[in-house]
Amino acid sequence: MKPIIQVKDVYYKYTNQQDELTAALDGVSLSIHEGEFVAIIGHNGSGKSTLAKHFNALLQPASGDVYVKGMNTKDEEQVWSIRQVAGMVFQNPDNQLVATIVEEDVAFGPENLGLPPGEIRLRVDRALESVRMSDFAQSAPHYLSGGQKQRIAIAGVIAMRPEIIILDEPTAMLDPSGRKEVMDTVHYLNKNEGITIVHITHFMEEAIQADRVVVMEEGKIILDGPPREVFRQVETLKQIGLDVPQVVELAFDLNREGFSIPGDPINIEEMVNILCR
Amino acid sequence: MLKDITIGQYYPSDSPIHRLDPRTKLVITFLFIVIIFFVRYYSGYLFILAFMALTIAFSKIPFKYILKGLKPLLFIILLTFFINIFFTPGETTLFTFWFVRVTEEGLRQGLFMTLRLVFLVTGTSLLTLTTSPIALTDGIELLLKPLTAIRFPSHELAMMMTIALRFIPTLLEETDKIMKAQMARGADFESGNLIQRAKSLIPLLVPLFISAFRRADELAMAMEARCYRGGDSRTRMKVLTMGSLDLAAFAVTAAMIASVLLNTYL
Amino acid sequence: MPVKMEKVTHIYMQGGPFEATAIFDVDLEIQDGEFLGLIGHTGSGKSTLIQHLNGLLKPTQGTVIVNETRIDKDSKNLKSVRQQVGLVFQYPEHQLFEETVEKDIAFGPKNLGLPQEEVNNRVREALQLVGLPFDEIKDRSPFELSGGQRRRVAIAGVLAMKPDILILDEPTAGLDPRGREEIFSEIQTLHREKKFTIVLVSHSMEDVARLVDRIIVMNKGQVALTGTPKEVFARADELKQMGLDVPQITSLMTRLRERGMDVPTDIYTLEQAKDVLRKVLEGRRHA
Repeated sequence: MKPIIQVKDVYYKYTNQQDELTAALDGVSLSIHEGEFVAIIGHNGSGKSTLAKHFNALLQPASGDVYVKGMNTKDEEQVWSIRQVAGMVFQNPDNQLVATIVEEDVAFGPENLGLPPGEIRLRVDRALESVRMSDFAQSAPHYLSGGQKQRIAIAGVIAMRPEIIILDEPTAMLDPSGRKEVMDTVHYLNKNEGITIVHITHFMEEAIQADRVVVMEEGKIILDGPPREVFRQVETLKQIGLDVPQVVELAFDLNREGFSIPGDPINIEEMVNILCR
Repeated sequence: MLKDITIGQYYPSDSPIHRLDPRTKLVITFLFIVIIFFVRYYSGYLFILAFMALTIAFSKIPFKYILKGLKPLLFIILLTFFINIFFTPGETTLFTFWFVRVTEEGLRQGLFMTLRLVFLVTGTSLLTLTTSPIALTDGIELLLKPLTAIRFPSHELAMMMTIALRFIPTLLEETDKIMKAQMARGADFESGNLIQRAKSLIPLLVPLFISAFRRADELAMAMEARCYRGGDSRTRMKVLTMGSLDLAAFAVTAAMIASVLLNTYL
Repeated sequence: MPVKMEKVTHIYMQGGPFEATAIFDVDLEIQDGEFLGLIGHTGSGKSTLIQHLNGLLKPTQGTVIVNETRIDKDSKNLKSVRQQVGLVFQYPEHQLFEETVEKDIAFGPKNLGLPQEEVNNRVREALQLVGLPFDEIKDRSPFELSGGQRRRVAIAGVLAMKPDILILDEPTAGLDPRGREEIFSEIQTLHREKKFTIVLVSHSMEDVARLVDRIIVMNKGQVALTGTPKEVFARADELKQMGLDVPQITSLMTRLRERGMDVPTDIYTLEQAKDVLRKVLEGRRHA
C-alpha cells in the first residue's frame, strides 16, 4: 500500500488567548495509506484538529513537511489540487453549507473547480446518491436534521472526487441516530468507493470501527495501531483523560483481578464469544 | 416557530413565468416600474392592468395569494389615498367634513396615486413570487457582470446575497434560543421604557453577533476547503439561457410600453 | 419543592398551517431531591417539556404546578418560577455576553433585583459550586476561557439564581471525555451535597444509567416509560422501537443470556457487570 498522506517531523505553534506561544504540533510524523480508515482521538487541545488542517493545506507547518499524494502543502501552486484530493468535513453542520438548496450546495465544490455544467450535474446526482440523499435534492438545508445536513456536507466533498476525506469531529453535535447515519455513510464510502478516511472523534465506539487508531496528546502522537492494540492500553488512555468502551474496561478489570479474558475483546460480540467458550 | 418565516415568499410552480430567465424578469420588472410613472391618464392604466392580468394568469399563482401579499401594506396604501385627497388643491367641492374639504380633483388624484402604488407593489412582488432567491441572485450577478470591467464586485455581491439567504433561518432560530436562555436567567424583553428596552437587548445581541462571527469564520474555512477562490475560474451547474419564451415576454412588454407612451403623448 | 404537570398539551403555531403538537396529555411529578433522567430521541418532545417546567412555555392545555404557583395558558409574570427552576440549555456558553465572568454570572441575580452585596455573594458561591476559583477567574473575559470552563461559567450563571431544581439539557454535548467527566462530577456534587433536585436530559444511556435515580422516557410527545434505570433498561426491546439504545453493558448481558449463560439482564453499570461475571468465572474455576 502506498502512503497517500505523509507527515514528516511537523511542528506548528500558535498564540493562545493569553498571548503565550503554544506548541500545537510538537514533532509529528505519520503516514496514512491508500484506502485506510484512520481514527484520530485525543482530548481538546491535543493537536488533532490542527493536524487535520495540515492534511489539506488549510494550515502550513512551521517546520517539517506534509505531502498529500506526493504534493507538498507548502507549494502554493498545488494548494487547489491538494484540496481537491483531500476533502474536509467540519464539526458544525450549519456552518459549512453555502447554498439555500441542497443540490446547489453540493454543486459548490465542482463549480469552484471550473467543471463544465453537464459534468457538475452528473457529479451532484451521483454524490447525493452515495450519501442516500437524492430525495432531498431540492430541500432547503434548514429543514434537515443534523445528520442529514452532515451527509449533504459529505456529498459536497464527494462531488469533488477526492481520494481522501478528513472529518473533523463530524458527529460531535449530533444525536445518536445522526451519528449512526454519518458513520454508516463514511464506512460505505471507505469500503465501496475506496476513499481513504481520516476521522477525528471523541467517541470511542467510532474509533473502534476504524482500521487504525492514532492517539494524540500535547501535540504528539503517543499511540498508533489497530484499535485492539491501542485500547489494550487502558491505563495510558485513562491517564490522559480518554474513555474506553465499557466492554474493554470490563475485560481489563477482570483480567487485572486474575480472571482470564484473553484476546483483548473490543466489542460485545468478541466479549460474548470469549465468555461463552 | 421563527424558522417558518419565508423571505421573498417564493411560490414554487412550473408556470411559463417561473420558467422565464431571471434576467428577463429582472429587466422587465425594471421597465415596468419606469413605465408606470409615464402613465398620465386613467385609460393608460388599462394597458398596465391588462399586462398584469396576463402575467398573473400565466404564472398560475392564485389571485388570493397575491392579495395576501398586499395586506401588510394596506396601511401605507390607505395613507397615500387620504393624504392625496386632503392635500390636493381643487375647486369642485364634493363635501366638507369637519375641517376637511374633499374636492373632486383630490379624489381623482388620490385614486390615481393609490392605483400607481398598488400596481408597483403587485408588479414587483410578482418577480419574487415567481423567481427563487437563488435564481434571482444568479440573474443579478449576470446582469451586473459587465460592470466588473469597472471593478464592480458583481460575483461577491451575489455570493453575499446567497449566504445571507442561507443563514437567515439559522440566525432566527438562534435568536429564539438565546432569548429563552436569557429569560431563564430572569431577563425581561417586554417591559420598561424605550431606553430600558433597548438596553435589555444587549444580552441578546452580543451573543448573536459573537455567534454570527464564529459562523462566518467557520464558513470561510469550509469554503476554502472546497476550493473557493472567488468568481474568476468558477463555472455554474445551472446555466441560464434565454429562449423563445423570453423573446415572447419582451415582445409583450414592448407592446405594453408602446401603448402607454402613445396614450400619454398622443 | 415538588413540580407537577397535569394533562399538559403543547401545540406550536396553533391554527396556522405549521401547527404541530409537541407534547400531548403529559402527567408528571418530580419529587424533592430526585435525580431524574429524561431520555427520548430528537423530536420526542423533551425540549418542549423542560421549557414548561420553568414557565418559558405555557401549556396550551393543562396545568404545571411549581411549588405553589399554577401555570396555565393565561399565566403571567413567571419570573419567580424561573428563579425556582433553573434551566441550562444546550451549549449554554452561547449565552455569555458580559466583559467579565463576574458580571456575566451577576446578570441573573441582578434581574431578580437583589442588593449588590447579595449579588456578589451569589457570584462567588456559584463559581465555587462549579469548581472554578473566584479570585483567579472573576475578572477574565468569558471568551478567553477554554470550552469546558466557559460552559461551567454559564452553568454558574443559572446557579446564581439559587434555584431549587436544576434542569440540564445535554450539559456535556460537544465536550471531550475529560470535560464530560468534570461536568458530571460537579452535577453529582450538586445533587449529593447541595441537595439540588436535578433533571438531566441526555442521549448517552451509559451516563444516564450511572447517574440518575429515575428515568422518564419520552416518545412522540408522550411519556412512554418511567421507572428506575433497572426497570427501564430491562425493557430494551421497547426502547429500541423508540429509536433508543441501552447501555453497552446491558446489551452484553442480553447477548450472554441468549447464548445460554445464566446472567440477569437488568444490569446497567460496569460495577454490576463485574460482580455478575466474577461469580460466573469463579464458579467455572471451582468446577
